[in-house]
Order: sequence, then structure tokens, then C-alpha cells
Amino acid sequence: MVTRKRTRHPPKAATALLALVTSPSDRAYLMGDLVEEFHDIATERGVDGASRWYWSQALRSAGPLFVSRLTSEQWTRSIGGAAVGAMTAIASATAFGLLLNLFLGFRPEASLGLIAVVVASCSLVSSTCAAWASTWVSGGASRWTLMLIGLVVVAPDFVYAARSHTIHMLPGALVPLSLAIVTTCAGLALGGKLCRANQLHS
Amino acid sequence: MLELRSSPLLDRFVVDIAGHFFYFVVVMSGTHLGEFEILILAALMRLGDDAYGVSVRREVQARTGRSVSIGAVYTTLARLEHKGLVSSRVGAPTSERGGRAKKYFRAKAAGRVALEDAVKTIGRMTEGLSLAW
Repeated sequence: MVTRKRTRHPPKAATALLALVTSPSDRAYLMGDLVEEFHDIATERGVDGASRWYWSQALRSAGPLFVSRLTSEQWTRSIGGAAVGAMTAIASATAFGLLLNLFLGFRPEASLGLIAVVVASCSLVSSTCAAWASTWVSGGASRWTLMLIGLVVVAPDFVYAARSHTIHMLPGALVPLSLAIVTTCAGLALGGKLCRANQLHS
Repeated sequence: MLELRSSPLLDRFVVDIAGHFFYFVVVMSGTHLGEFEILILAALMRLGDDAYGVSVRREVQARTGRSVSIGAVYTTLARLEHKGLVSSRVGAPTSERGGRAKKYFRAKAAGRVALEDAVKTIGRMTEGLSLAW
């Protein structure tokens, strides 16, 4: 019968998980600390006990380390900011649309002016909220983040305008959509400024 | 009948993530200290020059009776360093750490002041309260 000699190494899968979520600046020190404690615990409780402890540490540390990495590294903060901005744009546009539907009701026969007002105000509100949220998370939204948020905000306006019975042809849609683009840009700028002003005062 | 059983490890995992996300998004942007930051700063002051990840984790665990993850310690130390309350230096690599160096931490003067303020604040809030049930 061949018996395998147990080597005193931390579980590789747990180590790989930690290496993935830990910021490069702290990775070596954190891994070193865990290896040191692993060996200490292995002496007291054996390799199996130490491995269980190591896995427990890896799983419990993964969440906080991942969040820390998201908020500390610029490219991850940018992605996080873009994701939060896009989600906020969708949520606020949905909430605004539901409120409007509650008071005005969806009217496919609504006039071009009413469509333009609805689209512009919805774009302004959702882009402002989205830019504020994105700046808060990432510390400063990049142009790509702002373009993504702008796309997320303006895209439903195309859908809304297309569903309207008033706008039969593309030229007719240009008025509300142009207004939506202008108010979206204004909202993005306003949201970023408001967030930065709030952070300065807090 | 379906019985829902919570796993202690899973519970702690979820609470750890939620708690630390709250700290990062809300507390991180402010200047006041969170509860865990207070514990970490106090541990740094107790340990002096010997404060690094392992010793800080063990100190907090021994004194509070709570199980503390190394990830929580490192993220809190990073946050305190970002706030200018803690400084760090790198030690020599050792073989028992797989050739990796230790990162030592020390509370700066601003950190000591912040800790003192936090302790005084808690004292003012709890002054005169009867905490015995």
C-alpha cells in the first residue's frame, strides 16, 4: 500500500482565490502572513486543521479584499463607476417613467411637444443621478464611463419615441432625441459637479 | 418540509462582505473612525514596532473574542493609511513565510489623536447610562 506523504503547503485553490482578489501592493505581505499562520496552526492542529483554517480565512477575506481592490485601483474603480452609473441610469429612468405613467399615463398619441418634454426631463434626471453615483464610486468618471452612461440614458428615449404614434418618420424624432442628448450631456456634467461639491463639503 | 439551515461560515461571509462594503462606500469617505478601525488602531498602539498582519489579527481576536479575518485587517489598515492615520514599512523576507517580507504598521500621531477622540466620544455618549440589565 502506497501512502502519500502530507506536505505542509496551504491549499492551492484557496491561495489562487486570494491572489485574484488581493491588490498587488499587498498581495505578497498578506500571503506571507497566511503562510506563517498556516504553519503555526499545522504544528498545533495538523495539516487538515490548518487547511480548514486557511480556507476559512480565504473565503471570509475574499469579499472585503475584492471590494477594497475595486475602490483602490483606478481601472477597477472606473469599471465599477461605469457599472454603478449605468444601473443608476436604468433605475432612475424606470422610476421616473413609472411616476409619469402614474400621473400622465402612457399616451401613444401624445403631441411632439409632450414627448419632447418627457424625454428631456427623464434624460436630465437619470443622467444626473447616474453621473453622481458614478463619480461617488470611482472618484471621477472618465469620458468612456460618461459615454456609456449617456448611451444607457438616451437609448430608451429612442424606444419611447418609436412607440409614439405621433412620430411617424425619423425627422420627426430628431427634435425630442436632440433635446434628450443635450439634457443628457447637461445632466452628466451636473451630476459630476454635484458629487464633487458634496465630497468637498463633507 | 424544507428546513433552512444557515452555515456559520456562510453567515460570516455574507456579514463580512456587507459590513465591509458599507465601510468602504460610506465610512471610507468620512473622517470619523468605524468600530473595527478603532480596534485596529488600538492594536497597533499596543503592539508598537511588532505590528504586522498576523500579530494585529491575533491581538484583536484575543482581546475582543471575535474571529477576525486577515482580509478585514489588511483592508482596514489600507483605509487607515489612506486617511493618513497609519504608516507602514517593509521588513526582511523570511523562509517560514515562503520568502515573503512582512509589512509592519504603526499608528501616526494623527491616528493616536483620532483614536483618543473616538474613545472620548463613546465615553460622552455612554456617560451616566446604566448598562447593567
